[in-house]
Amino acid sequence: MASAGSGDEKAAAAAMITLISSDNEKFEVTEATATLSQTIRHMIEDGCTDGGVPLPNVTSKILARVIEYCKKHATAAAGEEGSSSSFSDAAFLEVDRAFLEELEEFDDAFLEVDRATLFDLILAANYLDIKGLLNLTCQKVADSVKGKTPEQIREMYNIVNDLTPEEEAEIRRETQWAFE
Amino acid sequence: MGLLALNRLVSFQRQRQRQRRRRRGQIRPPPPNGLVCSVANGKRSNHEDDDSPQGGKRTRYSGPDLPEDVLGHIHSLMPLQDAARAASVSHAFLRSWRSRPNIAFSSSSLGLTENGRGENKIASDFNSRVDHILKRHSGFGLRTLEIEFCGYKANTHCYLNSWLEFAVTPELQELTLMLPLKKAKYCFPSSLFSNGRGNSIRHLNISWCAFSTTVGLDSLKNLTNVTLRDVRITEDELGCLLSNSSALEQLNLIYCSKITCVKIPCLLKRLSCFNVLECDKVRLIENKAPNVSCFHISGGQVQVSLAESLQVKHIVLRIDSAISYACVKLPSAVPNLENLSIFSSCEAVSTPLSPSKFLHLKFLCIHLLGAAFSPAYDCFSVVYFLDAAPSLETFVLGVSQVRMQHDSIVEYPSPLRQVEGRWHNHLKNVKITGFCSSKSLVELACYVLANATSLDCLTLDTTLGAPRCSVNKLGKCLTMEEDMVRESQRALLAVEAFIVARVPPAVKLVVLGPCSLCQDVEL
Repeated sequence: MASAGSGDEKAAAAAMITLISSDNEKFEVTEATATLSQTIRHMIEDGCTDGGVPLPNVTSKILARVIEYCKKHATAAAGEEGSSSSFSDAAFLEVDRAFLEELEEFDDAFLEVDRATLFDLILAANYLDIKGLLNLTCQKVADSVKGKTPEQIREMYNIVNDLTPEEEAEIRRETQWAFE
Repeated sequence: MGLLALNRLVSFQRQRQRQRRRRRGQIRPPPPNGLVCSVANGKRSNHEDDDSPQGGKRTRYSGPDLPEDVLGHIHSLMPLQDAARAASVSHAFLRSWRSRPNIAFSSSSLGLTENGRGENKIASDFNSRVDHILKRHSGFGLRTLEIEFCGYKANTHCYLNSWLEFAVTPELQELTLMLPLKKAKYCFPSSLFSNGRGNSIRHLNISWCAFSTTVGLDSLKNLTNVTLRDVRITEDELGCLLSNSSALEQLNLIYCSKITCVKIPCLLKRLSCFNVLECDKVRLIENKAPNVSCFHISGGQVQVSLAESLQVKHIVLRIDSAISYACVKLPSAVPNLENLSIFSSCEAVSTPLSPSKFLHLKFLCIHLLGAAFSPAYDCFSVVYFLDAAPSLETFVLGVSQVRMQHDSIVEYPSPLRQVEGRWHNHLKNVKITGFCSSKSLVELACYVLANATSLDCLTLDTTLGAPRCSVNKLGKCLTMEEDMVRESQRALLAVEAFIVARVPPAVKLVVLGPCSLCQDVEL
């Protein structure tokens, strides 16, 4: 595709990266979007992205969501750079505020997923090393255990209690203040 | 099923840990495909929510497991109390609790509410809880420590010394210490930062204590941010701290009332921003750091001395006679200034003619507070400031007053003054908040309309400019005194009589009065 194009098209195509999901679906994204992932950023720096980047740990369903997040936040990053020179200009502040609110709304809507999808997103964010997405999704899990007992947390997330009764009693004594 | 379960575990978590767990023989093996068996009734269920036979609503999870480092990360994002509870979920959580990287102690994070406890009891509970938690911490991996005291007992400083002794390791990156007001006569043991122990510290934020640096500080080479609030430190001690912090990027000094002068040395090559706020004995602030791009100075009678300040782009200045100072001293000292906000509560003379120009100034905001907007100060003289800023794009003037003391042009009509100003080809937005019927403000608005050839919008807000009920979170406008509402009405009359006819067709005039929903004052 790139070889048939003119010089300009080649340059544009060179800035596109192909990501290949575990079920072999291909996604074309801009370099700016892809490099929110440190893992992919390093691959680009090492020149290992020709012919696409296979992501055997990420399904197409999850990859599509991850790309959706990266696209939105790549624009946000570009927006921040553009406006940093006039940080206290009232007009720009208005724009920034509106933009941040929109981003927050996007993030809230983005997190409206079932728990299995949320965990898949966490695994993908961890594997692709996308700090913002990892923090966002992990925070959602952290918030969900607010006020829960250890037993409830184990049940919620299918965590095996591998503490001996003695160990458990000891740590319960130690953290008694948190149960008051 | 055992094999499948093992496969799943191996794929997501460290094998070593898995094997240790299996040996304990306590495991309820995770079922295939990550589905959760409903233990109570023996039927497999993949429902997210499931009413348990006991009648209580239980939430069940079906999905992949997370590796231990991710679990640890999630655990670190929980508030302290939740994280402490979660420590007894499993070994993985216990391990991550013991090496929690970020600990923030405060009365709320420790669940210390009044609730019948006296102040003394809270203070002693605080000490014992913090002490207990830190004693059981492995000492590894602690990167951020924040202690916000909620009381102070005679023995607190002994506790605090031992906590800092424990926490200030070559791994600690951020330390925040907030002692309770002046009760604490605590002296921060700055010697902790010697011999390589403070090597990785980046952020240091301390309040309400003394900071003595008579002993050499030799290991603050990574310190980038320093905030000292209400810290008893002399200028010599501050000098010692600064000269040992060559990586410093941001310096904040707030309410440090022992300092009389702040000298920022030129060796701070990375310093980009400093704030010196309300340090009431400071009379001189001298900056020699070459790459400072913004600063904020606030507090009465301060003399500001700036050398080699070509990088400075943003300034907030809140000192006496700030307008005169800025107009006379800043153009030559900070020739590349782009953004200037001035707060003045007293101006001895009207704005003088500026000896040189702010060639790059794009945004100017001037607030006249209380006494600065007295009949002794001629607002109209602000035009000299505008004349000194030929690239200006946005100009905001804020006037705060409870009672208008100027002659009202509505009550005492007289011919408006005009000056031979220059053309302002870049000025696009002008906003005056607290706009009233003072003759000088009306003259200023008329000057802008006559001389700003590219003006897009002139906003005259006859209120103090606070966010309106339609956009603020309270759903209510700031209450205006009756006098202010009256003055606001006069200001609207002045706009009608003197300004509307002078608005060129291309300019949008926005006039804001008191909110019709919130202010219901009979005139």
